Formats: sequence, structure tokens, C-alpha cells
Amino acid sequence: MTIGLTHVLVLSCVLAVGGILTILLKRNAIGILVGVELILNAAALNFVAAGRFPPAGRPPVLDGDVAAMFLIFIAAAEAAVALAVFLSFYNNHSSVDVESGSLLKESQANATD
Amino acid sequence: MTALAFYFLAGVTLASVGCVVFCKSIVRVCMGLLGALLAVAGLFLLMNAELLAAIQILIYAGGTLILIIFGVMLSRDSPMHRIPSHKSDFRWAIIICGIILPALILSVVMLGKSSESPPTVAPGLIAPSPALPSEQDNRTIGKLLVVDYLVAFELAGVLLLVVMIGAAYLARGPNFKSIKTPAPAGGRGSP
Repeated sequence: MTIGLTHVLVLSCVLAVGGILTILLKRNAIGILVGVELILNAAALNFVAAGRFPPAGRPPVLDGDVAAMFLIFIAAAEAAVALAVFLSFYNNHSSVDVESGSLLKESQANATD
Repeated sequence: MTALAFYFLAGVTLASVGCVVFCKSIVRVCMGLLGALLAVAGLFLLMNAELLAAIQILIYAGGTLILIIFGVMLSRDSPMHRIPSHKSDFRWAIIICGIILPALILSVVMLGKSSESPPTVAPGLIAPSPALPSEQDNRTIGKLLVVDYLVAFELAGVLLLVVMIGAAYLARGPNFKSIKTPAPAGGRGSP
């Protein structure tokens, strides 16, 4: 049995749903970021597989690789900004529990107390 | 052989995703992410995308994951500290994913069945495709980057610069003192 596009797509479905589950379950902000990274990785896998397994009768193309490369760049940028926001949040709330950030005003209330 | 390698990598990916989803300790979650990233890099290798596998390991596993672990270390008194999730969160998550996952897999399988009149055999997985020799891949990707996708490439560079400045500004500590040059006596705009 040969491995085709469908096998890779099913695997990336599982990866993406694992990411969604992580985002829904974790209350730690860094855990949520990890879930986002899983989803982005599933997208990169889809891009590469779509380029490398062309429809019958066509040569494979490398545009999917380039798209996946851009996706990795953007994921790195997103992680950097998200972690900077988390550090700023931690400085205000002494926690990265997302439920402690339900009110934006809370940090000012804490500062005045 | 490639099928065996694929199923092995798929198993590693699934185990890592399970670790990410169900582990409570944030450090174990990060290690699970590392396993998933390395397994996906192995899948890239299996699809003959060597350059992308190297980029995945260097930037993702070597850069982004280290950044996340630094975030864990900087934002915790004890790295093993746990934030438990609610039971109601768990129930809703299971319901939502129980709908999404079968729908996604069903659509993918139906798409595969409808589109492959001859089975879509991977040229890359069986042997390097004659139309696309593996050693020419990198050259082709380089040409694509600076010819077809030049604007996106430049925009990615600008994005990374902006992100670097913005992240450094956002992550400044509470005791950060901004370095300001003393304002001239006449205020802004005076000659």
C-alpha cells in the first residue's frame, strides 16, 4: 500500500484538531501558544503534501514548499510577539493564567491597591 | 519501507500530540511540541523536502521552541507549576473536537476518493521524481523565492524586523526606564 496525499492530510487533520483541543483545554497562555503552533504546523504539512503529490499527470511543484517556508517564518514572528505579550501580562498579573486577564482594568486596580 | 517510515512518524506525531493535549505540566507540553515538530520534519524528509526539514528543525525546534521555553522559565516561580483546566472546559472541548475531527477526516477521504482516478502515487515517496531531481529542488526554491515570491519574501523580512522591535518594546520589565534625550528648552519643533 503506497502512501498518498490522503494519508498525509488525515495526519495533519489529527495534528490540527490536537491543536484546537490544546487551545480549548489549556488555561496557561503558553499552552495555548503551543496549540497554535501545532495548528500552523499542520498547515505547513498540508502545503508541502499538496505540492509534492500533484494530481495525476502533472509534475510536482515546489510552491507548497515556499508557502510552508513563509508559514514557518510567520509562526516564529507570532511566537515572539505572543511571548512578549505574555511577559508583559505576567509583570502585571504575576500569572499567565488566561482567566486572570478577563478584565483589562484589573491590572490598574492591582496597581492602585 | 516508506509506508513503514510514514506510519512510524505518524505514531510519533500522535503520541506527541497526546502528550501536548493531556499533560498538565507546561514543560511536558513543550517537550511534546518538540516531538511533534521533529516528527513533522521527518515527514518532510520522507516527502523529499530536505531544505524544509532543515528549516523546520533550525527555526521551529531550535528557535521558536527555545523561545517558548524561555517564556516558561521567565514567567514561573517553578517550571512545574500547573494550571488545572475546568471539567466543563473538558466536556466542551471533547464535544467540539468530536464534531470537527470526523468531519475533517471524512471530507479528506471523500476528496481523495473522488479525485484519484489513478491512485495518486507519490513520485517523491517511491523514488525521486524524474521531472524534479532532488538536488535541483533547492535551486528551484531559491529561484521561486527571489523571482515569483519576491514581494512576499521582502514583506517577510520587514515583518521580522517589526516583530523584533515590537517584541523588545512589549517585553520590557516593570522597572524599565526609557532612555530619553532631555527635551530641548523650547519643546518640540523648536529649531
